[in-house]
Order: sequence, then C-alpha cells, then structure tokens
Amino acid sequence: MRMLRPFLIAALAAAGLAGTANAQLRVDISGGISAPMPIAIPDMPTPAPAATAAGNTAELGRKVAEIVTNDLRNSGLFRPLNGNLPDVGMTQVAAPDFAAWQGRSAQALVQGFVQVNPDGSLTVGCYLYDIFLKSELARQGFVVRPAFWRRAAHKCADTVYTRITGEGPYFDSRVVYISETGPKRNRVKRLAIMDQDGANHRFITNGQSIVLTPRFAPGHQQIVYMSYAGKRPRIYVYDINAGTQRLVADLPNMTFAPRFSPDGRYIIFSMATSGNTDIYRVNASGGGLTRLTNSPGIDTGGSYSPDGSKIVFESDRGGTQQLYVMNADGSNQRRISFGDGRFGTPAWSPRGDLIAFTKMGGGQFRIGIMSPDGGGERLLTNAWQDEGPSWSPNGRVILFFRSAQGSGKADLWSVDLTGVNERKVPTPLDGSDPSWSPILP
Amino acid sequence: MKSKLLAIAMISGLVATAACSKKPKELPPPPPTTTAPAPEPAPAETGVVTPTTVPGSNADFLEKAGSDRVFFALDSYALDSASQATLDAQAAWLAQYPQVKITIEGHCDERGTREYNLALGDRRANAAKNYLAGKGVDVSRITTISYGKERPAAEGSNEEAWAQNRRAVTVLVSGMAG
Amino acid sequence: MDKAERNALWVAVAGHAVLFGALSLNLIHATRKLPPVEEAIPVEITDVALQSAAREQLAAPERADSPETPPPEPETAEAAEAAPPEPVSKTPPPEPAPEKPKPQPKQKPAETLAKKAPAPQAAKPRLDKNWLANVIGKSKPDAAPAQLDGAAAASLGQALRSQIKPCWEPPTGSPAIDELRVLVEVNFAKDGSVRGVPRVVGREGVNADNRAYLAPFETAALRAVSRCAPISLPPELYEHWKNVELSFDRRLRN
Repeated sequence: MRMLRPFLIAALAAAGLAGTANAQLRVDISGGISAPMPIAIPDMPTPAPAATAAGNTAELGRKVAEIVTNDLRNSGLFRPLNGNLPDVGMTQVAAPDFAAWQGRSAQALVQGFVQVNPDGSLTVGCYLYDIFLKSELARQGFVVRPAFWRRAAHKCADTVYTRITGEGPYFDSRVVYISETGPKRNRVKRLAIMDQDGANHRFITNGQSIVLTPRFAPGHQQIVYMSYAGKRPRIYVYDINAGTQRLVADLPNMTFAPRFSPDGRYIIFSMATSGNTDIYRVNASGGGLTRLTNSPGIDTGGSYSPDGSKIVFESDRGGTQQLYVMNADGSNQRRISFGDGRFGTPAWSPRGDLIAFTKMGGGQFRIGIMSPDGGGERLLTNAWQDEGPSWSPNGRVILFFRSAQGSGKADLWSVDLTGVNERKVPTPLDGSDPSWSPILP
Repeated sequence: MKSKLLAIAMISGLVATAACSKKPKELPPPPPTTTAPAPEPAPAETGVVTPTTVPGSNADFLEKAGSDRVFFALDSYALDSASQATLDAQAAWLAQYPQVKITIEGHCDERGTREYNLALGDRRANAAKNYLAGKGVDVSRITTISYGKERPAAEGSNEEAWAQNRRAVTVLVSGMAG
Repeated sequence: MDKAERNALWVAVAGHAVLFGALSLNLIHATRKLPPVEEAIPVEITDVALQSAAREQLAAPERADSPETPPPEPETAEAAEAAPPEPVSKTPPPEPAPEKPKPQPKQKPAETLAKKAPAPQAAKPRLDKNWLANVIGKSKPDAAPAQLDGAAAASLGQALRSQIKPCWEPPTGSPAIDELRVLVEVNFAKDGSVRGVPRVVGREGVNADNRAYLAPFETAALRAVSRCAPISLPPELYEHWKNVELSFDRRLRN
C-alpha cells in the first residue's frame, strides 16, 4: 500500500476535484428585512450656469436634489444621507465614483443635471446607480418650461422610487382638500389645492359657503365637490384651468358625496329625499340620472373600482354602518364588512387590491384596509378620530384627516399601507377631506 | 332747557307706551312672562332697549313653543316624548301664524363620518317635519336642510356637548313679525 | 487490506480516473455556462451630452402642450458623438445582470451535471489528513464523486446564509411578492470576495400581481450578495463554495 499512497492521494484529489465540479452548493435565503434604503442625492450640477425664469440653473440643481430627497424620505422607504455631500461635477454624473459613495454607507446614488435649452425650456437629467453593484439602474431626462421645474424633480424622484421599490409612481401629483379655520361651531371651509409635497398651494373658494368632500376627476383637470352655496347643499364640478364651476344636477334635494367614475364618464353621488339617502349616477356631461340603490337605509359614500366594474359604498340598511359592494349598474349588492364595529367612507385603491375605510368602535375612528371581498381587515392608525381615506395614485400611501378631541381641529395625515411612516402633511391652516389626484402626465 | 323738556317728554312717552303695552285691552290675555321694565331712563346713546315680545315674531315663537329645537339619541332620528311635546307647541304656534314659513335644520354630533352625518341630519330634519305635518302644518311651509356635523351648537367632545348637537332646529324664515 | 478490498480499491480508482477524464473532456453536456470571470457590466457611459430626450408629455395640467416634439440634442462643451436620444417615457429599466438569464428549473446538487471547468484554478485545495480521512471513510466505491456529506453541506450552507441574509431587503409593497423566487449564481474568490458579478440565473413564481416587482426584487438579491461580501467560510472547503447558487425569496420561515 505504501507504493500506492501517492497515487491514491492524487487520484482521490482528482476525484475530489471532479466531485466538486459536480456539486454546487445551493443555499436558500428567505424572509429578509425591511429598512429604509440609505441613498445619496448630491446637488445636481449644471453644464453652464444660466438664469431662467425659475432661477439660476445652479440653484435649481440644488433645489431639484432637495425635492427628490424630501419625496424619497417622506415615502418612508428611503433614508437620504444627511449633511454636506461632496459636490459632483458634470463628468461624474454619468461616471460615478462608486468607491467614495460606498464609504458613506449609501446603497444607491441619484445624480443628475439641470440645463437651459436654447428655447428657454429646462432639461433635468436624472440617473440612478446601485453603489454596490456598481451599475446604472435607471436614467430619464425631462424637459419642462421653467415654471414647472418642480414637476421634473418629482418625476426624477418617481424614476428612482419605482426602480427600487417596484411600486408605481406617485410624487408628481396633487392633492385637493378642505382648508379649515375658525371656531368649532362656525368653521370657515375653503376648497384648496396643492402639490402632494405641499408646494404651489392655492385656495379655490373664498369660504363664504361650506364646502365638503372634494374629489379629483380622472383627468385631474376637474374637481367634484359639495357646496352649501345659496344654502342649498348640492354638488358642483370645478374646472381648474378655466376657474369655473357648474352644477352637476339641478335637483331639488340635497346631493352630496360625489365621485367620478375611472373613465370620467359618470359622477355617482348621494341624494337625500324625504329622509332617505340613496346612491345615484349621472353623466358627467349632464343628464342620464340613474338610481343605483333603493333601500330604506342610508346609502352613501360610493367609490368605483379602478376597472369601473364595481362600486363600494356604505349602508346602514342592516342596522349599522357597513361596507357593501355592487356592480356599477347597481346590481348584486352584497355586504363585505363583518368585523366588530361600524365601517364607513370606503375608498377603492387605484391598484384594485384593497379598500380603505374608516372603522368606528371602542370610542375611536381608525383608518383600515381590507380586500374587496372583505377579508384581511387590518387597521393602520390608532388615534381618537381618523377619517376619510384617499389613496395615492400608486395605491401605496393613504391620506386621511385626524381631528383632535375637544378642539375638533383637523389636520391632514398620511400612512403607508404597511402601517409605517404615519406623518402629518403640512398645510397653511387646518385641513380635512383630502383627495389625491392621478399621476400627472 | 328746551332739550331737557324734550327729553322728559320723550321719556314720559316711552314710559306711557310701555305701560300701555302691558295692559292691552283688545288683545288676548298678556303672556305670563314679563317684559323688562325700564324704570330708570337710560341715556339715549347707550340705550338699554326694552325688549317686548311682538306676537308672531321669532321671540314670540321661542316663548310660546318653549324651544326651537328637539334632540335625538345617538344614531337615532326618533322623537321622544319631550321632543314631541316641543313640536306640539311649535305646531300650535305655527297654526296661529299661517303665513310663517320655516326651515328645519338637521344636525349631528362629531362622532360620525362626514357623509353619513349629512344623511342622518336629513333624517332628523324630516322626522321633525313629518311630525309637524301630522299636527297640521302644511308641508309647503316647511323646507329642510341638513348640516351634518358641520355646525355644532356645543363645542366640547363629551356626552353633554354631543347630546346638544344631535338636534333638529326650527328656524323661521319668512312671514314672521318684527 | 485483503485481496477483495484491494481489487475494489483499484476499481474505484480506475472508475474515478475515467470519470475525471470524461468530465475534463466535456463529454457530459454542460447545462450552464459560467461567465468569464472578468466580464464587466455594460454601463452605457455616454458623454456629458447626456441623452436626455424631450419629455414631450410633461406639460403642466394648466396647458396642453403639443404632444410630440422631436428630442433635441443637448449641446455640450465636449464633442459628443451623436448617439440616438433615449426614448424617455417608455425606456424600461436596464437589466442589472450582464446576460439575459435563462429561466432554469432548480437542480439538486445530486443531479447537477458537470460544467465546463472555469479558467485555471486559483489555488489547489490543501489536503489535510482529517478531511481526507472523512472523504475516504464516507465515500462508497461505486458512489458519485466525493461531495460534502449532508451534515457538512448543511452547515456550510447555513454559514453562507447567515452571512448573506442580513443584506437581503426585498420590496415590500404586496403579498404577491411572496410568490417570487430568484436564483443567483455567485463565484467567490478564496478570500471570500465576489469574483466577477453575481447574476440571476432563474426566476419563479412571477404572476400578474408581482411582475412589476421582479426587477427590483432581482436587483435587491444581487445587491444583497455584493453588500455582504466578502464572506468568510473555511478555506479548506473552498472547492465547495467557490461557486454557489443562492435562492432568494421573501417568505418567512422558522
């Protein structure tokens, strides 16, 4: 055997090699953690500093980075690096110094530039890099007139957000809501509109009449809402461009709780007739009044599914406020909420997979979500009175309003559908009844 | 001197007519409540106005009916006996002054969602309206409006305040005196 | 050793030699190619005249701009080649992996057939006698080529899992993401660093509800490997972990 040993060793070594060449180690990695991604967003350089109607391009490069930073941070899914980030020159924009950023514990990097074009428009370039993989993940360029530079920044943030998270975009959007001020017994309520980050805020009505529950049309150019103008509570459509309003339906009774259909063809609303409230539909262009529910209970708060085939609404026909779903023509009305407590103000997610609602019970109003069949009920907030959910265009974030016990002071808040990142949305005065627009084109 | 005489004359006239209104001969028996006597003449600028209840006026309505509003239990639009008694008195007054038109406002407390409360306020207003109609008030004289939880009467977040806010209020809108 | 045993040993040795030869000659069809070690990710590095084409739909809601404007070529100081402008609105995100991964069913180690041997080995494994004794003791004469036995493989896998998993941060936005599974192939150098780039070699469970999350899911898997490298595993077992396949999913297990 002694003679064989070297051969044996060699053969077995060869065998070991051959064996290894056959066997590949396979490892399952399951679960994983969820943590805000550290991301570096340095100021964006400009190839040539130039004055524009919106300011110097160098200053805009700083502000665009700031908007992207705020959007991503406020989503709760990113943790932009704080502090003074090194200046990035134009040559680095497409050729990042990965090693330097890795040293700062960032996982992703957003770089870009702002420049003026010969026709006076702005180009904002936006590049997303994975620092550890040392690869480019996305790039987009946006051309805008200078007055709308903020939208280019939101589009850049959306590019980054969608590539990392897989969600649809939502930063380039607006919010309409009711701005409130004054004593609790006599609140002054005004229709107001702003970018989703609070910028470009403007009042639409002057507060002489109570206005309630505004909702965007799918084309985001119109808002349907209810007003007490002339002491007749009725629903109107306001055209944002033209600055004009028109009555939706000239009916003698109180009409309220309006919403557009996803294709913009219809407006559904509630009408109270001699003490009974039901849901009706009318053509957005006028006419075609159709009754959709006909129960002795209060039926209100209709909200379409994103494919327009169904409507979720609330009804107390069974004794207490609960959620019901029906076909868009009013047929097949069935109850979907069966949990403990009362359910109201349903809002169907633009993704179609969830319905948000206000749940009342135990002395609290809380925002929750459930599947359209009523299963999987989950409560997202836990304060005294949270009410009136509205979904972001990508179905990931919910806006609602929170009222304080006693003063009744209301503010806008938002929460991620996973329940994290509950945060107050800043408004100049108090706020309620928020409604989120679709993504702007 | 002259102005002092004029003042005395005015004040005497005021006192005289005030006395007259207390003892009407042609009118039905005076109401039990007294109007505020104004024994001291007050300077004209600051003027303590002596209230007098003009028949068919809003104040008269409030006096005669006892209350312009009825209250409801949580989530309810049922009229309890106290509410019915108030509405009976309102109906009686409205029968006396058939030219008066009213609006009944329906209200809710803050412990309901926005749109449901608009509907519930409408229910309450109509409950009061139907009751008054049943007591002989012509429905053409009654309009209703719901304010949901938008116009609370009491500002607290407690049972006492909420009980005051769950109400239907009868508001005279036309045809009343004064 | 008696005669029977000696014969058996010769048979085993001969068999191993034949098998080794056959593998070396690639007579058994390789099912996967390993990437050349030095391949770089194709990053489109363009000049500063960055291809930011006109974003014609970015008119504000207040005005309707003309929808189709031709994409302008931005001017720059450097002489840029006139590469075609990127179509901004519809450009899908680039694949992070260098090659199109072929969808592959999972293969158990026992069935894995030989691959082409990669470029020359960096180092031969050191044979220490204990390891060798283990291999001799456990290998049967007619068995497949020597591998790590179940327990050893398991503990090696567990060690690797515990080092990569802390960096695994998949997307969170939908329960449908639980259906996804992505297979990543990684080559490690002996010091535990990643050789070349990890790449996606398979994906499972894609459906209409989670398709939008696939690219971020894959990127997160690749990033997990890159972030948690270099790993630290026994160098004497390097042959067994120099090329690994990692399966990433989001389900919660014990």
